Amino acid sequence: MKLDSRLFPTRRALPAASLLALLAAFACSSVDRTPATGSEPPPDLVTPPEASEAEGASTADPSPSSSGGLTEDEILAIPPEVGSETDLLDIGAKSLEELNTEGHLKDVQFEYDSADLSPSMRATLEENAAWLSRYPSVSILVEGHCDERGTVEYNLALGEERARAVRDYLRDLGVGTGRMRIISYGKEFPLDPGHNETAWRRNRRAHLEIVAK
Amino acid sequence: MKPPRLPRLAFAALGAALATGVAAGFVPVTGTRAPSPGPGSGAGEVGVASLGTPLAGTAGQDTGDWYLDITRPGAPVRMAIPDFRLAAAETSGRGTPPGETNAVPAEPLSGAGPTLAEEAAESASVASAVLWSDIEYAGVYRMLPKRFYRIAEAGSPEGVLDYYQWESIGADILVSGTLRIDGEFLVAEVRMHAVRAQENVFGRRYTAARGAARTLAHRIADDILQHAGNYQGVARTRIAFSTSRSGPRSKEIYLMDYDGHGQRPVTANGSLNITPSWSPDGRALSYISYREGAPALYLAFLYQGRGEKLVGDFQSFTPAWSPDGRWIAFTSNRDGQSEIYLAAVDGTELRRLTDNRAIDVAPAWSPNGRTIAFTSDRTGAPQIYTKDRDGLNLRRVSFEGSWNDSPTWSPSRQHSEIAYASRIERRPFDIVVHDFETRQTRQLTTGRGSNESPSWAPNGLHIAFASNRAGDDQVFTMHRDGSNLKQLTREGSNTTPRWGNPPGDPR
Repeated sequence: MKLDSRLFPTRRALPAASLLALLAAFACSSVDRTPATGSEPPPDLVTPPEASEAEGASTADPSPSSSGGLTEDEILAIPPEVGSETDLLDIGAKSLEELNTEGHLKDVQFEYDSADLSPSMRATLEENAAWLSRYPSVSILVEGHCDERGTVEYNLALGEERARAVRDYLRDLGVGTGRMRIISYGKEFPLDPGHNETAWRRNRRAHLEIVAK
Repeated sequence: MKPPRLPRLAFAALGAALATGVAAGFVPVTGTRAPSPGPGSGAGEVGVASLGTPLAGTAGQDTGDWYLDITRPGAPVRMAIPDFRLAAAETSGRGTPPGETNAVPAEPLSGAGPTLAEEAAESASVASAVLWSDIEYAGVYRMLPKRFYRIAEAGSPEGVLDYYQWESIGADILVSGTLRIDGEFLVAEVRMHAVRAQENVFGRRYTAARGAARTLAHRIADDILQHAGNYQGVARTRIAFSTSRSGPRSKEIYLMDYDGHGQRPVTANGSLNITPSWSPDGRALSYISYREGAPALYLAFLYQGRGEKLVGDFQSFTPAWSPDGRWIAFTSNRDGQSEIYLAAVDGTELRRLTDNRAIDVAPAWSPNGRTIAFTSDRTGAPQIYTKDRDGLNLRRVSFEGSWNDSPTWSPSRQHSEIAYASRIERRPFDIVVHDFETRQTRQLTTGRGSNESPSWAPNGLHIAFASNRAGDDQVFTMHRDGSNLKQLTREGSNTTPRWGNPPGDPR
């Protein structure tokens, strides 16, 4: 397992501007990434659009069918073709970076000072668990993150609690604990550098990073 | 400090790799070495010797425990600190206190060329400015403006210290000094005078490496404050912090002098390095690093260029070094959720302090090492608690505010208090202080930006903290009453300042 992929994970649900900025950052901090080719993004793109992909996950109405959560048996009974992908990916042919960029596993967003899983978060995690059940060789790192409004010290513990809540739910859904590790970054690595409600909501998250396939 | 044994909890020691310096992720401190100038020499980077002049109130010896008696109750004590004179400049015609120039062998500055003279002048200029600001920072003396000094000096006969002249401009205390370059060293001779008593109450010779004028002046300032008013200065203290300045998506541990000068890296591994904590002797730091993936607890012995991992399994956060130097309190999830543990610095013991389903984080030791303050959300929101280190006597400290964190226990003998970051309702954080004697809580910052991670100065009279009031997080210091605010960092984002003792000066 590469240290680099754990410390500088590629993010999935980024607006174009943030992605460019992050790519530029990666180019400076890691040796095995392609150099950034883009210049500075246009100023009007620096502020993330209001309706980002990541936001959608937290603001979407909870799906009634999945709000109660699935039992382990129910999850195991889900046939592989339940998702939009009808054929299994050839994950062996893809790099970890590609797999993470393609966004097969979705972030979940938490409420302020909370590590509780809402029905919509559980639904997202159930999708993640289904994907993981199709690719049993995949191992993940569950990262807990916090927004900037909390304190550095407490946020480290809060991020840990968020990562643990996600790991425990995935475990309850049948994902083997040997395939999952957790880590807290507190508020050290915000996904969105903004200082507003939108940014804070996006930053209060657990991110699932594929670290082995 | 006795080198600790290889800890039982540690993985392979990183010592060999770390000793090679920056490239290996660790930057040893290279101290300046000074000669031992005989009896009375101090530890550390500056040599100290008593000058021969008999001291008032003693039998001709500088015993180090004599304090100036200023008998004018209520009035602020006014201190005059003229710039350091170059020791060879005695022909300049300026007034010189008796005995001062006699004690200094003539230095053939002219024979060594202009470069040496310029260096001496520059060193004197730096030392003068630093000494002034160090004394002023303490906030206990009224600094007499330098423009008055010419009057006193002009009225004195050449080569004579005329106490009446200094009294006439309002000086209670006069601190005067000379400085010269002697071989590879800076040599300063400093005297403190009680003006109205007309006594020379302090005289010492200080020796430091050339180029270490700041270090020299810091030492002098702390001595002056100690002898003038039994005041524990902070001029030689340092502040450690975590900074993003070294590159994107990484943070390194840095340290700096208390006044923000000399900001320099302790770690350089390109990973996430956060929440430093000083050893009580000011010669080592514990901190959390993600350099191997999971956040682990590391120790960095600054003067030995040596580092090691103390606790590497599970996730570790927020270390705090005990006042006796033997323990690190920290947070770990090894038993499922965030709890506070104690690990012996030599790795021989691991004890658990808290045990409940809530978050327990950010331990801070009481000055006597018997009690630990920490943050817990056991009532639903983060609040400050204390618990004896044997696990007994749980007490809640904070009752106001929806989010309280980052307790730091005052080391002061006069004030029994804890500072922490407090959020009232949904506002940003402010630094507050809870006084155990009065049971009152006072607010030191007032809503300018978010103010976090307070850390007491070793004398318990100042607080360092991080604030985003100027944009990114930056390190500030203020007096314990909230006055005398100073911004120390400006480059990148700088968080979690920790104020340490002077090196080699255990409490």
